[in-house]
Amino acid sequence: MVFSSFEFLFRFLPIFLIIYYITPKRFKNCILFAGSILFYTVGEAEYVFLLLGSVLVNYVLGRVMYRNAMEGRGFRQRFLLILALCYDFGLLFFYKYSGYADHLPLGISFYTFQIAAYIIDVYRGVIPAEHSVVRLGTYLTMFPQLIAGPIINYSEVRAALRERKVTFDDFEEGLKLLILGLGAKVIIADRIGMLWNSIQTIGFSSISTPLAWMGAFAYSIELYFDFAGYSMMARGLGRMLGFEIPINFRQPYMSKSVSEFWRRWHITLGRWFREYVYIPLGGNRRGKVRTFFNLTVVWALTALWHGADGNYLIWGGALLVLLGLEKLFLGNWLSKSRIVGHLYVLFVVPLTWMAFAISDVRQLGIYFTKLFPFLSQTGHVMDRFDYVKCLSDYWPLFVLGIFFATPIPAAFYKVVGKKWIGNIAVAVILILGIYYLAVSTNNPFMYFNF
Amino acid sequence: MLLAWVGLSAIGYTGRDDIYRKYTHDWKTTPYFVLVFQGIHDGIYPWNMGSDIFAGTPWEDFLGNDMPEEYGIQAEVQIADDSELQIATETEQPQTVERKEFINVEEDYFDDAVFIGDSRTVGLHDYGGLDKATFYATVGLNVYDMWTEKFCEVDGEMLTLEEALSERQFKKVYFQIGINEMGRGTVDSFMQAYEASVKKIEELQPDAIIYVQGIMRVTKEKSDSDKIFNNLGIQVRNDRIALLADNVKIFYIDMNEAVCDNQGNLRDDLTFDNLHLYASKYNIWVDFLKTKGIALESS
Repeated sequence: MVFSSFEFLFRFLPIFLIIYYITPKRFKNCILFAGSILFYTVGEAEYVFLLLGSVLVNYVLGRVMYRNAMEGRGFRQRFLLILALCYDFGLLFFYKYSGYADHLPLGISFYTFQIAAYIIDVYRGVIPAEHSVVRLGTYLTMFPQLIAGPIINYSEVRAALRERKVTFDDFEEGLKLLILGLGAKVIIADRIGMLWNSIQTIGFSSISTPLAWMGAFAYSIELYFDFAGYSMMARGLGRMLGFEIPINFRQPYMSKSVSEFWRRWHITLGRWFREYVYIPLGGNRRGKVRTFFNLTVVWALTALWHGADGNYLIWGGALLVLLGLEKLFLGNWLSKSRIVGHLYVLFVVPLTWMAFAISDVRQLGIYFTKLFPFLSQTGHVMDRFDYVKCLSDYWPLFVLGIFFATPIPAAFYKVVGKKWIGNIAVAVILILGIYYLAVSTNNPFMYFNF
Repeated sequence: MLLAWVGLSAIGYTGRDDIYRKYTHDWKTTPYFVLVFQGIHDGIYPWNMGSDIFAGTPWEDFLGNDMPEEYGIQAEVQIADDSELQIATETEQPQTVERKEFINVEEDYFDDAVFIGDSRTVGLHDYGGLDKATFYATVGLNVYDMWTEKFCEVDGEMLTLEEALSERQFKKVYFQIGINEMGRGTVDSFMQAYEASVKKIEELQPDAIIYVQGIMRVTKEKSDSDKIFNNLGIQVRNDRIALLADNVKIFYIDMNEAVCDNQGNLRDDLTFDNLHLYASKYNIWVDFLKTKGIALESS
C-alpha cells in the first residue's frame, strides 16, 4: 500500500486514525504496532515474519547486553553487538545480493539500518535497552516510515513512545504536510517521470542530445519530488500520530557543492553513515589519507546499500571522486563565487543520477555519448527535433519542478501557512492531487496509456 | 472539505451505473468520488447525469458493469496457426468474388494510405519514416472513444475521425487498435465496437481497402505478470479480428509475425517497456507492411 493511493488515503488511514484516537493512551502503541503490521501485510505478507523477527532478535539481544546499569562495556557486550549486527546485516546482505528472492523484502534496507542504530546505541550506552517489546516494535514498524524512511534514531522518538499527545494543531499541521507531500509526488514527480519513461521507450540510441539533457533534468526532478514528497508525507503522518519525524530533504538542488548536496539530500541516511561508519573510523581527524579512506568506505557502502548492480558502483565512484576533489581544492575554489557552485551542482548532479537510473552499464555508456556527442557517435537520431515536442508537452512541469525546488514556496508557506490563503493553497493541491491520482488509477500502468 | 467529500461521493455513487458506468470501480479500495474526477478527465461532468451520453454508440449496451475478463497468468498462450485460420476464412468466401493476394510493394505504396490507431501507430508515425502517409492516431486511443475524441489533425485543426475521413479519400486504411481497452468491457463488446468501426470506415472511405491489423503482442515478462494485458487476451481478440477479413476489401495482417519470437511473445530486445517498439525498430513493422501490398485495379 503506497501512501499515494486511494486505498491508503481514504480507506486504511481514516479507519486507522479513528481507532487510534479513541483508543486509551495505554494501548495506543499496541494499536499502532498492530496497524503497522497490517499495513505491511497488505503490502507484502510473505516477509512480515522477517520484520517481526528483526524486532524480537534485537529486543532480546538489547535486553541481555547489560545485566545492570553498572556493568561496563566488555567482551560479552561486544560479542552480543556483533551477533546482532551479523543477524541484521546478514539478512539484508542475503536478500540484496544472493539473488535468492527476485525482489527485496519491503522496507528491509530502511528498517535494518534503524534497528542497527538502536542496537549500536544500546551498546554505546547512549540509550538504555527498551524494556517493552511493543514499544520497540512500534518504533521499528511505525507505518509512516516503515517502507522508505526517514531513518529515525530511537533516541529521537524514545520519549514520544512513552508519552505523546496530539493536539488539533498537530493534526492539522500533519494533514497539511501529508497533502503537500502527496502533491509533490502525484502532481510533479509522477508526471514529469513520464518524460523519462518515454525516453526509455524510444531507446537511448535514437534520441537527440537536447532530449538527452532534458531527460537527465526530468529524472532529477522526478527523483527529488518523489522521494522528498514521500518523506514529507511520512512526517505529516508522524505528526498526526504524535511523533516528530526528522527532516529528510532541505532543498538539495540549491547547494553549491556536491558535499553540501549530500548533506541536504536523504539527510537521515547521510547522518546514519556519518554516526555509525565515518566517525567511528576516525572521520577527518586522522589526516588526509585516512579521511579519504573513510570517505571511500562510506561511499562504497552507500552504493552497495542502493543496489547490487554495477551502475551503482559507477555512481558511488563518481560521487567519491567529486567529493575528493572538493575536499582537495575544488571546494575552496567553488566557495569563492556565488554562481559557479550552483551551476556546477546543477550540471554534475543530474549526470550522477543518470548512473543511478540506468542499470545497464552499456546503455549508460550510450546515454553519455548522447549527452556529450563529441565523445563518440552511437546510434542514429531518429528525429532531430524530438526535444521540441517534449519541451512543448513538459515545460509547465519543468517550471513547477524548478520553482518548487527553490526555498521560495517553503518560505511563502511559513508566512501564510496558517492563514486562509495557505489553507486554500493546500486545498487546491489536494484537489489537483486527487484528480491526477484518479486519472492514473483507471490506468493499470504506473505511467501512461499506450 | 468535508462537504466537498460528501457531495462528490454522492455524485459518484448515484452516477456509478449511469454516466460513470464505463469505469470499473471497486468500492473496497477506492472511494466513490474518484469516479467524478475520472469523468472530468474524459469530459463527462456531473451535470451530464441523466442525459444519456453513450446514446448512439452501437455498443452502449455493453458498457454496463461487465468486469473485464482476466486470463490466467500461467495459461499457455495458444498462438493460432495463421494458415489454418486463413483457410477457415477463405472457405467461407463466396466463390464468385476473386480473392486478392499480397504482393511486395515499395514505400510509395503508403502515400495514399491513412493509419488509424493508438500509441503504437503514433510511434510508427514518429519513427517509421513514412513521411507521405497520413496518420490519425493518438496515445491511449481505444475503440469505444475513437469516434468521439477529436484527435485527427487536418490543416492545423483537430477533428473527429468521422470529420477527418470525410474530408479526404484514401486508397488504403490501416487500422490497429485494441490494447488500451483490454481492461474495459468484454471481448464481445470490443468486437461489436470494432466491427461497427470498420463498417463506419468502409462507409466513409468507399474506395479504400482496409487493413485490420492484429494487435501487437507484449513481451513474455509482461504477459506472464499481467492478468489483463497478456498475449492470451491479445490473441483472443486477434483471432476475432481476423474473421472480419474478406480478402477482397478487408484484409487481416498480423505484424506479430515480424516482431515476436517463436513462442509468440514480443522479442525483448525490441522494447524497453514491454509494449512499444524502440524508435529504431519501427522499420521492422514498415518492412512487414511492404510485404502486404494489394494490387489495386485503378493503380
